[in-house]
Amino acid sequence: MSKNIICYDSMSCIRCYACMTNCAIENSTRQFRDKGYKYEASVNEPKESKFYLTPLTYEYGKYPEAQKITKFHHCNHCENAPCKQICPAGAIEQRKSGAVVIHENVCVGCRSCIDACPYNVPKYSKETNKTSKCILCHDRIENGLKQACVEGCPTGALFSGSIQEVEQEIVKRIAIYKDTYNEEFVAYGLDKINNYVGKLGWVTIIPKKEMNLYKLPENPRSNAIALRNFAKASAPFLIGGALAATAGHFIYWLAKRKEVVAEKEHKEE
Amino acid sequence: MPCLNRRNFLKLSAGAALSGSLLSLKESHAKVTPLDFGVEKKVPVLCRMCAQFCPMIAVVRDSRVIRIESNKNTPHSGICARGRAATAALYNPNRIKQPLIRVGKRGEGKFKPISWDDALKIISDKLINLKNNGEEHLVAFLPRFNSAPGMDKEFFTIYGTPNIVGYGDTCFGNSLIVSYGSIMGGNEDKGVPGGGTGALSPDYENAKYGILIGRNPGGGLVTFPWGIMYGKGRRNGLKVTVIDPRKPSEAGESLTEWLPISPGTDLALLLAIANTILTSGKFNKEYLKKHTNAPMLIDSEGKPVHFENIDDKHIDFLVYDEDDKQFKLSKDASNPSLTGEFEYNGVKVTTALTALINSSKQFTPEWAEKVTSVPANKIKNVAENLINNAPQVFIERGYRSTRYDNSMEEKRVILIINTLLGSIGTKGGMIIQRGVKTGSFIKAPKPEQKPISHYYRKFSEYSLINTKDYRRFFIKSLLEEKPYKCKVAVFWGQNIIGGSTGSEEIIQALEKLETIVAISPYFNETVLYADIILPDAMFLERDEAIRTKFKAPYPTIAVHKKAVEPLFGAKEGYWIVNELAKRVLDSETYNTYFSHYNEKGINAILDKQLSKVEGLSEDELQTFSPDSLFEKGVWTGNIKYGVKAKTKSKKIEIYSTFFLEKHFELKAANEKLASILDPGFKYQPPYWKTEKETLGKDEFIPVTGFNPLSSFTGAQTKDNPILNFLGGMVDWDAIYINKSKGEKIGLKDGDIVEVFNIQKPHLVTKTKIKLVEYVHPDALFSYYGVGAGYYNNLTNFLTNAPKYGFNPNHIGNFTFAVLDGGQLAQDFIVKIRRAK
Repeated sequence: MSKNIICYDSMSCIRCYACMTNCAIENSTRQFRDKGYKYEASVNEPKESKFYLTPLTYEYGKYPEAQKITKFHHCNHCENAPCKQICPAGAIEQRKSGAVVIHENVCVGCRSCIDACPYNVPKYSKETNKTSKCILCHDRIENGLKQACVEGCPTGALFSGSIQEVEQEIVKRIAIYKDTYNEEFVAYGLDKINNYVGKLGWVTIIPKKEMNLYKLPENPRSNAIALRNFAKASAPFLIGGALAATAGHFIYWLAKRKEVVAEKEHKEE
Repeated sequence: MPCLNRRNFLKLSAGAALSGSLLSLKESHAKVTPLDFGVEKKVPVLCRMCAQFCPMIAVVRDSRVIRIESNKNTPHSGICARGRAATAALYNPNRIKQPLIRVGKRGEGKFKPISWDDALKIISDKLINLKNNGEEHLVAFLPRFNSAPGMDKEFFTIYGTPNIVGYGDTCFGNSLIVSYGSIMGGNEDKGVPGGGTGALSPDYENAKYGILIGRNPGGGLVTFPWGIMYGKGRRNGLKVTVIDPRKPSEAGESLTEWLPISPGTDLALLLAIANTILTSGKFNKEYLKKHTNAPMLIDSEGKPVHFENIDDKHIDFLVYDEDDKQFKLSKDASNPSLTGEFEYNGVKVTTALTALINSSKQFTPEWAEKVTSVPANKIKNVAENLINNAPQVFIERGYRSTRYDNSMEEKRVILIINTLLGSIGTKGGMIIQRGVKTGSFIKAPKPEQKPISHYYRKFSEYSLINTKDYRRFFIKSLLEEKPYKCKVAVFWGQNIIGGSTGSEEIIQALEKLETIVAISPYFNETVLYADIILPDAMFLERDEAIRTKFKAPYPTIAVHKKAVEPLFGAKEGYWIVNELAKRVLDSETYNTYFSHYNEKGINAILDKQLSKVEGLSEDELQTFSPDSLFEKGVWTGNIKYGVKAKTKSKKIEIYSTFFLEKHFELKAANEKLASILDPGFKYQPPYWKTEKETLGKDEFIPVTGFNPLSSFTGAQTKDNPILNFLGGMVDWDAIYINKSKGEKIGLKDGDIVEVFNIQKPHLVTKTKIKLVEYVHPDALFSYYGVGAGYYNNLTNFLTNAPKYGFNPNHIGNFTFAVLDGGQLAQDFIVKIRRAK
């Protein structure tokens, strides 16, 4: 399938959280479908790892000119997927749709992806020793369904499709907003942002002057990765250190793995 | 959804797998199992996570509802978060699982299980006993998201009680209805015309500018169709101004004007808008001439100088025709004068509009600034925006209508301004609803006794109360034992303690009952006071009658089918009613009304309903068929623009002759009440302002708004694990006050504080506080129905719900708004202090 991207249009959003709810419900459905969980039990376990899309709230200005911003926190499915590039276990896949997917069964819980992500997205679970994040509902979109959040949105503030379709709609909407409010608008991530992330698989429409308020960085990157790249590129004497770090990761993984397996067995008893 | 069989799915999935990178793709994330997509059963249902019945689809696999989708067969398909989380409500282990009988004190929450047979016997024995003594009327039935529509109220009516007590007096059934009826006319409730919340829909999609006041589109329910229409409107370039003590994110966070207003003073701001429009002469003259009674000639007392009957229900009034300078009936005038003073038969007369203009003169924006704290220039700005964009403008009518003593007047002025701008019935303005009706399954004979509400209607101060929705008057009647003392109350879905104002008195009243029955899928404050509890099926677990009542501006007919069998020991509403009917009614009566249901089940009801579908146009009838209705789950008709008023003059009565009539009726008895019913403009303060003109530094007015994750006080949302997780992330259980006011009394963001009503200082609620910039200094904002409130032993039963938090109903005053009898839900003063 060709690339499928999501756009969040903050101007027609009513902050009803239907998208976030539907995401969590879909993840309960997945546990039931793929992992043999009882649906009834799954839907009653509201774990953080089930909410790929969450609200973060910020407040700006002074009364009565106050402004509250509800930021939609989610994976942006970066074109260059730094999380995938850094993953030592090869657990992260970028599918043809553009979906950047962490494969839980391959994930070793090393949390490198968390270091690499400039948007602070992947969430580590101590309980499972796995890291999780939005999978762009690749199971749904590859079967002709919309992403759960997009399906969940009652106002069309979230929409998705091919890059071309989404871009067309964005252009149309921004033209209307510009006309209505006499303001500049951006579609953050539609064009390449920088070399680190490339374009985004999740584009956000907001007034240009509010990019900072919405905490959308103009030049997203991760210091941890910058350091590691520096290590890779510079003097060979650093290689020893890098190797040691990788080995460390592996040993850590083995130890952690043992713990998890033991715990599982214990539970099964 | 595209049809995808399992083999194709496997192929697709395998293809996708191969295309991935070699290292990482040993397995697709969505491991294909026999449980793949495309094999689910899809059942059309109507959402009851709040009270709006939005059409949706329950997706069922392995006898489980695994997700909710919107029903795409409407022009505005969509479901909010509450509906999306319905499965978490369905499978909530905190549901009531079997019939229970009270063993502790009322309200203590101690129950023991009994069998359905025993429970039904206790209830029916009580009912039979009362009937044998001729005391059927001492039974009150209080339904809500009724579990057996078409049969439950009917059973109690056949049994013989006139007291089918609706909850609307604490919601839509007061100021909103009366104000609508006074201007637009409508179905009469014992002489008082009215129209509900859905009677007018803002045409968000085509409007250019609108004012949100008393309602927010995201939290404020009615996703189908209002939330969806609003979103579309924003995409089409709708600009809004929000007038609210709290800036609601749901209206839009960016480039959305917010005018913070002192709670309960909306009327003053609206009067100033009316003043600006009227004194500038920038009202829609053609519209007013054609569709309203603005040109009606009135005398110095304000009475119409002359009118004639045109048929047995309608009248026409006298106007002055500018074209030929003659006095004539409005139907004969080609160019009626809108303003001016004339002499008619030696008497000085003016037009109704002139009277309105004169009465608005004192309410300048500068005056309103002092009352509302909204700067005069901002008010003028809003008025100018309305004028410049008219008639593609609207002012919302609000929701959960009476909150303050002046709510009725506030709602009426909203309609007057909409009329002045020519927006009612106009594309881009306010759409007048078109309804549709189906046949009724049972026509129950009228009981001999009169309901409690008729007794209270006789008092001047309650002369406009709703006679069908009167649950707080039922409480008043218990307290006063007038006109008679009820003995039994059956609460079917109504949470009168948590959901209406003045819980302390409500509990005192309930103590007077001999038997309290609660039928509900979930515990709530009222269920804890019951003697017998019956576990109701959740809405996904039952078939229901066809529904035609929606807020949609177009006719809508929708079906609700059972998605799964009732869980635990719950039973469907129709089963419960049928079992009660079998036990309580004599066999002849039972056979007359219920044998059809007994034989054919839900189909008996559906057939009867479909035998008579009324209200559709010829074109619409062509597109409607029962088969396709059941296949698609919902059928919708068309929006029709245009003005249709149901008043006696068939015009929009911008100068209300209904109010005028009542005004003169009351004048002798009560001058103050009569003045409220003057059809001109006047300012009436909220109750709290009459107590205290300015608030102390630790005093606030407890305003509420719906959270999009919560509805009313129900456990289906607040005890819902999925909604509660997200709710926790947005502090849905906190109270919110203005930051600098909070800091001045030494509070910090996140503190635990105590809140109490200054008139009821013994009822102290503990809650978390948020200090924010987006709340007016006079307001203490909380999300309606989320907090545990004062009566919080309910949290022992609702283990997912917030443990703390504020519910203004619990500590509010058991008082009534004048005339419409609504509750002063947030018209009182609270104090806060740091928790000990």
